[in-house]
Amino acid sequence: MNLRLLIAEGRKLKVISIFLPVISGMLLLAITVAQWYYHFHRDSDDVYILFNVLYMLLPFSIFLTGTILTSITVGTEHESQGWKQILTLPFPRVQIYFAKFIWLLILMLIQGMVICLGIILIWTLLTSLPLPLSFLIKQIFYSILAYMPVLIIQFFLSIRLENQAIPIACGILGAIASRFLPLFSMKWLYLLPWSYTGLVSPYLPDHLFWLQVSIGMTILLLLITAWWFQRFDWK
Amino acid sequence: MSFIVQTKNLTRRFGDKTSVNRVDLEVPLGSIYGFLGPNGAGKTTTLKMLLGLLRPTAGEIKIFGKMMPEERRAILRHTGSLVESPSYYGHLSGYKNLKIFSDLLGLSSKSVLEILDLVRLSKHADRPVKEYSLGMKQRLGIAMALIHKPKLLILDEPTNGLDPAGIQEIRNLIKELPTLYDSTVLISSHLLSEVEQIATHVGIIHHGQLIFQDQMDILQQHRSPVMYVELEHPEEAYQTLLGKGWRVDIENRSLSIPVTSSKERARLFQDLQPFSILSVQEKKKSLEEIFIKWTGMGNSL
Ligand SMILES: Nc1ncnc2c1ncn2[C@@H]1O[C@H](COP(=O)(O)OP(=O)(O)OP(=O)(O)O)[C@@H](O)[C@H]1O
Ligand SMILES: [Mg+2]
Repeated sequence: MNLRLLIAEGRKLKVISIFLPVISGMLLLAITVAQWYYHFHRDSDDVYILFNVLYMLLPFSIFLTGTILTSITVGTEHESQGWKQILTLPFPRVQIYFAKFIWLLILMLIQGMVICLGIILIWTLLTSLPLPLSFLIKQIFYSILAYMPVLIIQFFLSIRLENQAIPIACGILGAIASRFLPLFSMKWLYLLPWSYTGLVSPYLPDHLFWLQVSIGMTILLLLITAWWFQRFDWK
Repeated sequence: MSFIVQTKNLTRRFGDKTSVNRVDLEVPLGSIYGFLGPNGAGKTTTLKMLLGLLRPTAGEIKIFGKMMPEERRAILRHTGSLVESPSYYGHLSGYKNLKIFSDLLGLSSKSVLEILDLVRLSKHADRPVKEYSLGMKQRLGIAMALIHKPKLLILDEPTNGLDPAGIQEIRNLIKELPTLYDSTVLISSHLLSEVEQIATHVGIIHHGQLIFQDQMDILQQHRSPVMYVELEHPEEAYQTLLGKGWRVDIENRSLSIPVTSSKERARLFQDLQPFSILSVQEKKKSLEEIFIKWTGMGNSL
């Protein structure tokens, strides 16, 4: 990977691209804690229900954040007519593609960090029970990794379609789909990248299998889209 | 003769429309090459192919003797470009925009300040570009194209949207480039008058085909001069000249007569001897007129 390109991409980011994962992470924390209190008081005395609530809400948050981040980052490039400028720089096109993708990944991981640190903080402040730390980390970061295939699809759509309304609509539909796909009994539906985030929770016995599937799919989609980007005509 | 840019049979089709048709472009080293053509002629499409933004349907491109797109990076390292509208990140300052590119190209911070000075944006360097006027944005675009002192500069209608003063300024800058950076400049335009003032070489593209390519001087030679003569008795002179077989027009008491050689001019003066001549003016046909003659197009280029 080319470090210069990576730094340049970072400096182009709008302030909102950095704040968005932080804010959406905090929003998720707020809703999770509210739900947790609600359940805790009503029908359970199990504090650990916090992790069930997180499991319910996390994919949706990841999907929406990823969609908006991608559209903002790629949209900036369309808006500024920047593609023809970066693509006439003496760098392999593939490196330019990966530099942008890596930034999306970094921003998604920032969201994960915010959620992870937030839960740790809330847990230690409000309870005196042991925190299942490795479970928490797996829950959050497996989900983000499992989201990567969808992120690549969003990335592709955002580059291909200048008008970001369509990729954003697809992203929202995808977010809704992700909520329901893992609930169906038709197992072949699980193969769709939109299912993975719901399938990699450490709650589920074969979550590691689905984690491997998502990583495989990530690599496959990255190769396909990078090949496409390499040959794309900039009209 | 060594060519910085050389294409053979360069062709690009969009669907079944051929936008660039078997173009053999030859841009000599150190020239300012004016790439002329009316709207939709295929200028932008050609330049985008040279820069590797579009792939040709057929034909080959050689820049610095290297093949595009096979040796894309080696070519782009020494090429600067501004295609259609300038690229800029509106939320960043002019300085930051340039700094990002200079760092990408591994240049010093000094080069940013130098180029800002060259395009006279130093005063506005710290303002976000979205607050710039059109002309300032255009100058920023040219600065980005020039920041690495490229051996080849490709400009697609760089004076679009500029006022006369801005156009003059850019024109002067472009004229300096061959001496300043040893650059070769390939500049497209749909205005003959503009190209006429800066170009050393011209290529004219029409409906995707290159219909003329040579030195500016050669194009100038196609302009046969016209003599405008004012006389005391224009009517009589008019009749006499007509009688002697001249192609003569009369307008506002003055006659206009096209002449193709100095011999012909001498003969004309002889024939006009009997009439007292008040003034004589020699004018050349404008490039527009030649162009219209060649392409059979009206005034709206
Ligand atoms: N992406 C595209 N898809 C289809 N047709 C295209 C595309 N880009 C250009 N064309 C067609 O190719 C022809 C040449 O276009 P081009 O933009 O190269 O012209 P131009 O000489 O740059 O004109 P202008 O002076 O208006 O900028 C036009 O007829 C245009 O309609
Ligand atoms: Mg054009």
